[in-house]
Amino acid sequence: MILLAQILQGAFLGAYYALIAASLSFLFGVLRIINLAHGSLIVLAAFLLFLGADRLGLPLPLALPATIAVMAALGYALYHTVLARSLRAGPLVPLLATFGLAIVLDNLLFEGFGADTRSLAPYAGDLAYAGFTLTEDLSVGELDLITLAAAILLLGGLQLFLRHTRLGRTIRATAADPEVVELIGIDARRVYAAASALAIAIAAIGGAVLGLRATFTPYSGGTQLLFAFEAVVIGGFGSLWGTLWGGILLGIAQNLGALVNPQGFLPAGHVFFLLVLIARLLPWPRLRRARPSLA
Amino acid sequence: MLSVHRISAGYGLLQAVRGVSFDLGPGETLALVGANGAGKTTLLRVIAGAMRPFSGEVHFMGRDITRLPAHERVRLGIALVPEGRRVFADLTVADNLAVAEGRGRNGPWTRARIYEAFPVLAEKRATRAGDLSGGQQQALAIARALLANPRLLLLDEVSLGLSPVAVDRVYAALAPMLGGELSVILVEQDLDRALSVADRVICMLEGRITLMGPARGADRAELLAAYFGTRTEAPA
Repeated sequence: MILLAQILQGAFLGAYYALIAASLSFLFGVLRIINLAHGSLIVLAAFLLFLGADRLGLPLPLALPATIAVMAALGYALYHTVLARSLRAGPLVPLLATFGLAIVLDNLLFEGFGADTRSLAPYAGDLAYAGFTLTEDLSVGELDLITLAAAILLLGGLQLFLRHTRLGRTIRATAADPEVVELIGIDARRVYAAASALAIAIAAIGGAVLGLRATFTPYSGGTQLLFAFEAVVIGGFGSLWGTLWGGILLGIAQNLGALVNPQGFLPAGHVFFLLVLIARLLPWPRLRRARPSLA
Repeated sequence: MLSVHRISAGYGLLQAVRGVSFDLGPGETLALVGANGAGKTTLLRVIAGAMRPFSGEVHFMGRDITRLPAHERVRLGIALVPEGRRVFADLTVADNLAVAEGRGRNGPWTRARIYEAFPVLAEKRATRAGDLSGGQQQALAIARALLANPRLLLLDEVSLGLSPVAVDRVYAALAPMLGGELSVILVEQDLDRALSVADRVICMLEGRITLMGPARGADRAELLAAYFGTRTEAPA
C-alpha cells in the first residue's frame, strides 16, 4: 500500500514538473532555444504573485491573471530585446544569453525581496493541506489534484491550440521552416514574439503552483530549471504530451528512490533522467528517433 | 513590371550572381536556364526577398523593393515556389494551405479553388504533407504559392527529383496559368521543357547572363554553348 501511495504521490509531483516544463518545451519546440532563464522566470512569477497577494492584498485568483499578463508582456519584450538578437548569432548564443538573464533576474529578485523564504500557501486558505482520504493510508491532496488537472489542461490545451487555431498552425509552420513562412507572406518575427509571450505567460502558472506547493527564495530558479529540463528530456524535446509523461515519470522515479532510502529522492530522479538520456542517444536501429516537432 | 538592375549576390565570400540585369513584362513567362551553380536559385531568392543582394536593385510595379522583407513582397504579389518543395511536413495538406491563405493579395485563388484545380490535394487534404509523393508535394508547394494570388510567380526547379509522369502532371497543372496575366520566372534543368513553355529564355553561367532571347526558335546549339560556356567555331 505504501508503494502505491508513493507512486501516486510521485505522479502528482510529476504533474507539477510537467507544468513547469510546459513553457520550456514549448519555447524549444518553436524557437529552438533552451531557455536557461526558465527557472528564474518561474520564480519571478511566484514573486509577482506574492507581491500581489501580500503587498497589494489581492486574492490569488485575481493576482494570477494579472501575473500571466505581465509575464506575457515580458516574454514579448524578451524576444525583441534578447532572444531575436542572440538567435541571429548562432545556436550557442541563446544559451549564454538566457544564462546571463537568469543571473540578472535572480539578483534583481534578491535586491527587491531579500533572501527570505516565501510561500503563497498562506494566501490560499486551506488549499495547501486540504485533501481527501481514500483508504486508511492513502489520501490525496486538493492541491495535488488541481496541479494534475492544470497540467493536463495546459498541455492538452496547448496541443489543441497548435492544431486547431490559425495562430497555432502558423506557429507550427514557422517552427518547421521560418524562411518558407516568410515566402508565403508571414512575418516570422511576429510569430516568434507571440510564441515567446505565450511561453513566458505559461511560466506564470508554474510559478503559482511552485508558490502554493513549496517555498521559494530568489535563488530557487536553478532547481526548477533542472527538474523542468529533466522532465522535457525524459518525455522527448519538443513533444508536449511527452513532457506530461516525462514529468510524471520523473516524479515517480524520485518518490520510489525515497522509498528505498530517505536520501534517494534526488539521485533516483537524476539516475532515471540519465538512463533515459543515454537510451535516447544510443543508435537504436529500429526505434524512430524523437524528432523535435510540435505536431 | 519587374526590373532587376545589376544584382550581385551570394553567400559570404562566394559570389553566386554577378551584376545581372533584366526586365520582365506582365504576363510574360521567362525561363532561367543554366548549369548547377550558375546562380539561378540565388537570383530567384533575391527577387523573392529570401536574401539581400550585395549590390544592385530590384523594382516591382514601379517600386524599389530591394530592402523589403519577403513577407511584404508577398503582399505586393511576388510568390516563390522554393527549390526542394519545402512543404510543412508535419502539417496536413489542408493546414499547409490554411497557413498560406489570406496572407497575400485578394484574388481568385482560395482554398476551394485550389481543390478544384488540384483534385489530388482535395483527396489528400487530411494527409500529412510529409507523407505525400514528390509530385503531390510539388503540387502542394505550387498551390501554397498561388494562394497569395501573385502577379509574379517564381518557380524554382519544380521538376527536380520527380518521375517523368509527375513532371508532366505538374506542368499540366501549371499550363492554365502560363500565358495569362500572371508573370512567371521558371528555373528548369530540362532545356526542351523550358523552351516549350516560356516566351523568353535567359541562360546563366557562373553568375552572369550569357544569353537572352525569345524562347521560340531559339538556336539550340547557341543555347548549349551559352549553357556550358563552350564557344565552338562556326563551320566554314
